[in-house]
Amino acid sequence: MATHFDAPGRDSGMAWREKRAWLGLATLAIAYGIYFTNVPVPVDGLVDLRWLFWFAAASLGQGLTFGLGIALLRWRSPRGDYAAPDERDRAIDRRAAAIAYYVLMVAVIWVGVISPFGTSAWRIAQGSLLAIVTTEFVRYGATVWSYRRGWHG
Amino acid sequence: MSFKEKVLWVSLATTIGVWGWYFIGFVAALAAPGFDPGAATGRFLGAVFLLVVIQVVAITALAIWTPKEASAAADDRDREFARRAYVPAFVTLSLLVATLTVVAPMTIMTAPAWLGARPAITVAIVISNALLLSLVLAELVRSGTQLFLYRRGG
Repeated sequence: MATHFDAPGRDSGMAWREKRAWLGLATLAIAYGIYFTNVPVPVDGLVDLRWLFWFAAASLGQGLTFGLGIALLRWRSPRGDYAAPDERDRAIDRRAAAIAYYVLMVAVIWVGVISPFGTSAWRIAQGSLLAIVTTEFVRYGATVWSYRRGWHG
Repeated sequence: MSFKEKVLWVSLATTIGVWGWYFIGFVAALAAPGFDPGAATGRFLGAVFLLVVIQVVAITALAIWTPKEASAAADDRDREFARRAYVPAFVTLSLLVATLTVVAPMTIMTAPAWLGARPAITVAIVISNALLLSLVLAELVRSGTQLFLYRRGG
C-alpha cells in the first residue's frame, strides 16, 4: 500500500502539490491550535507580553515544520513531481486563491468593519490573525479538495 | 474597449477617489487634538454610501450608452483575466493583514504614549481602519491586474 512517505523515487499516487497542501493544513492546525488555546488575554487593557512568546513560537514553529516537511517530501518524491507547475496546478492555485480571497475579505470586513462597534482592540488584532489562519486553511483545503476531486480547471 | 474593461476603470477610479477622500479625512481627524469616533463612523458610512451610488450611476450610464456590450455574457478571456487577478490580490491582502497581526498588538501596547486626550476606542478604530485600507488596496490590485491584462492583451 502506498503511503505519503514512500522510498525515494517511488510514486505514492498523490500529487506533490497535494502533499504540500496536506502538510500546510497539518502544521497550521497544530501550531495555531496551540497558540489560540494558550495566548494570554489582556487584563484591564494591558497586553501580556507572553503573547509575543506564543506568537513567535507558533509562527516560527509552523514555518520551520512546514519547511522541514517540504524538504523531506522533496527528498522522498521523484524529481519530476516537484518540477515547475503545469496548467492544472496553476488552475488549482488560482481557484484556491480566489476562494481564499473571498473568505479573507468577508473575515476582514467582519473583524475590521463590523466587530469594532462592540469589541476591544486586542480582539480585533487576534481576530485578524484568526482570519489569516482560517484563510490559509481554506486555501490548502481547496487545493486538496481540487486534487482529490480530479478538478482540471 | 470592452464593457467589462470600462466597468473596471469605473471601479478603479471611484475606489481611489472615494476611499482616498475617506482616508485623507481620517488621518486629518486623527491628527487633530479632539478625535470624534462618532464623526469617524459617520464619515465611513458616508464613504460606503457614496461609493455604491457613484458606481451604480456610472455603470448604469455605461450600460445605457452601450446596451449591446452590456448585455453580452462574459467570454473566456474575461473569466481568465478575472481568475488570474485573484492571486496578486490575495497575496496583497494576506501580507497586509499578516503585518497587521504583528503591528496591532504593538499599537495597543504603545497606546498610552500616543493617545493623549483621545478616547480609548480610538485604538480599535485605528486598527479597523488599517484593515479597511488593506481591503481597499487588495481590491485596487485586483482591478489593476485585470486592467493590465486587458491592456497587454492577455
